[in-house]
Amino acid sequence: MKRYFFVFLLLLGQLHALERESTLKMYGVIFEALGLKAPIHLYVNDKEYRSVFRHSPDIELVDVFEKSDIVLVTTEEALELARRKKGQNPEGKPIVFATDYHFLKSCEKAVGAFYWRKGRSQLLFLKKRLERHHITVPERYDQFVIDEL
Amino acid sequence: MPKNKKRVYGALCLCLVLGGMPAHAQSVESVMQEYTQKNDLSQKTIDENKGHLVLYSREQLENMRAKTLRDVFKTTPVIYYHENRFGLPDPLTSGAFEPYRSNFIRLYIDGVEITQGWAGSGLVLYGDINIDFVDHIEFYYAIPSFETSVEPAYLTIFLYSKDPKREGGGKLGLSGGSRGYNAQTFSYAKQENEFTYMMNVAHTKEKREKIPNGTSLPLSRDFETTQLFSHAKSDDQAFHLQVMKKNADSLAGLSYDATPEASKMDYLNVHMDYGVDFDANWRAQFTYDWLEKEVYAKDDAPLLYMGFFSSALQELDAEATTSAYTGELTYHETVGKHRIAAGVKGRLKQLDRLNVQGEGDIALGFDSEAITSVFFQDQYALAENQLLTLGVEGIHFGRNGDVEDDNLMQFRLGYIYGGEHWTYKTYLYRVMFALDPLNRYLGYALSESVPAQKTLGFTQELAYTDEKQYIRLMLLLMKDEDGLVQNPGAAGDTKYFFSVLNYDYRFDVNSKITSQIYYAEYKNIFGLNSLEDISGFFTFFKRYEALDFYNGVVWHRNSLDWKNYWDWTSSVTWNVDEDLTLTLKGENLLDKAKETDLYRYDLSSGSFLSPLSISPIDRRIMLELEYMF
Repeated sequence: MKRYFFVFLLLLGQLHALERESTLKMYGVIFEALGLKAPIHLYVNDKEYRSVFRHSPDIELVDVFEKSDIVLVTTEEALELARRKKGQNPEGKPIVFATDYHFLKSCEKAVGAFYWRKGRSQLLFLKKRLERHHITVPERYDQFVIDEL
Repeated sequence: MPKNKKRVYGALCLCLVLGGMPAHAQSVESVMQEYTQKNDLSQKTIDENKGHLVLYSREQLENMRAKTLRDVFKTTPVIYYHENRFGLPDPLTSGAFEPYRSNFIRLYIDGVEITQGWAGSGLVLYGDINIDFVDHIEFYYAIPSFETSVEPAYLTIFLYSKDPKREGGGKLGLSGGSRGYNAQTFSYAKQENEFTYMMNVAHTKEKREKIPNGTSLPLSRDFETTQLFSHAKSDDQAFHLQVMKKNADSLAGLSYDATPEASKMDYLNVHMDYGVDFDANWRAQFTYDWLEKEVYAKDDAPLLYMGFFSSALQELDAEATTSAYTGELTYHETVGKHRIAAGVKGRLKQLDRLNVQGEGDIALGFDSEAITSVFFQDQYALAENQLLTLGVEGIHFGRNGDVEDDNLMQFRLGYIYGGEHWTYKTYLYRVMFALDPLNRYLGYALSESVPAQKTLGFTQELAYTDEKQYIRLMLLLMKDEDGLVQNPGAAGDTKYFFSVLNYDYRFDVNSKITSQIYYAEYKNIFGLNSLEDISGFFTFFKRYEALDFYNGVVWHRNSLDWKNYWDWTSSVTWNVDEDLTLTLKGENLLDKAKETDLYRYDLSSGSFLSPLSISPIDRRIMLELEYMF
């Protein structure tokens, strides 16, 4: 962990808010739970997230909402876009996933969220919304699944 | 397959499935835990090179249900939390008659220093602020990086605000407690395309315990504050606006024998700053601090400090306004294994106006102090896991009104080793402190030559960290030459030795203990030849389903009387849902929190009275509600 300790020190002040390695690992877990397989076509319009995801060999960033497997809603602009777009393709894609609890609450299309609450990261999947996409998350994610908000 | 074998096979499969489930579930949790630790905002702001750090992460502040800086300060070793004879946060107070002793504890919000200008450190007003807007807090001992300091510091406190990208939306907080204590907070934060903004308003009505003083009018330290914290930030620019209004009963105030007939101090403070990164190398920052202070004091004997004004003054109704302007230009460059930082900073402190009822505006010869500092710092990577750091800073204090100037020179040399689990730091430094304007007026004759204090220090820290535990031993050895707060009858320089041992253990994501033992030995301090100070704390946090439990005990004793003091804080929080939480919290439940002496002097007999023993931590039960939307 401390291997890059001093590299970190020397770069202090130039870092993005997201730590790349742990963020990719966490979203790898989330995408796996949603049954997505590489290459995963991801739509996200947040430059911070884009700068992280472009380092993943399993993810291809796309610029067109409809061509994505999953849309990551990190801003209100993306939330509006997700609300505006009508339906999904026959395979139930794209899946909408949020990084804010209130985005999950206010966007019926979002199947889950990974967000911060009082200094802790929280993971939530909504069973009824997952069913609309014919997604069944593996049992080991059961503790993160609730019926509805 | 035979029936029995089938059963064994089935049982084995079941065991594997059942046994495997928690392991898998744990692995998701551990990935989340790793994400939480590495993406905690404190990981973006901690600068190991600044020295010896005590960190209160967001998670820890939430676990503690810390609502004010005082809640955190009271567990911070070496300094802890104390209030002076005016009821103001003054951790270094001796309880005697000095105006303010903690000017060399510097306070920063989002990396920008808050100063009360003429009155000194931002700690005077912000030492017990509501921290609803705060994400995490860093305390650095000794001399932090010269990159941030305009003036010298013993201890630097960095408050970092919440990030609207993580906590957009609104939040309402309501608290009520013993003696009619109540507080309300409201905040709103949002991320726009190119910038983020946040505003937080907090109102606190502190109804505090009265202090009997042998008269029918016990000492009061009630106060009411209304504070605004706001900021707008983009990738390369940041603007902050803070406003604080505080109306306070000021305890003993200007009364020698702590029997004032009236003692009030009201403050109105405005802080604004703007910072811009021109490119990867250059950064500029401008800060403006303004303070209006009103004092009303009445006693049946002459008032403290008023000798220079009128030796028999028994009633004072005065108002003063002061300003501080700060500008900084810094340059960073990485050349090979060197990370170089250099910069120039300037600060102008002005006494804008002093008005005394019955006397009108009063012009003083000494009403301006200009500070300029130049620094150079190099961090040289000896190896992938070893860093050598060297810093030098020159500071000039220029004063008008024929008051002497000061030239200070500070050095710092440090070595840091950071392995996978082990970290070692050691620093050698020499830092100098000049007497602040307030003390120059109230504690000394203006014409008196007051040599700058020189503090020499040698510090070490050894720490071990893994996924479960954190162990740290910190040793600090310091000596003050020409101590600014003179030590009457002292045989020599003030010397002190601190040691702090920490042990934290995380059982799982929902349970954690933290502990600490602190021992210090001082020579020639507070008029004593020797003083030993021992303290410790133990905290335990446990989350069980929707309930969070927290218990923390802070223990103190010292060689003045070897009396044990216990401050027990306990809380239970019900997370009703994602948006609503209710908390029942008790502070100083045993009513045995640390007390400090407030000295009294009887002018009529010319003798000292027995001091009053006062704890800055009230015994209090509170009910809190938090709603996010």
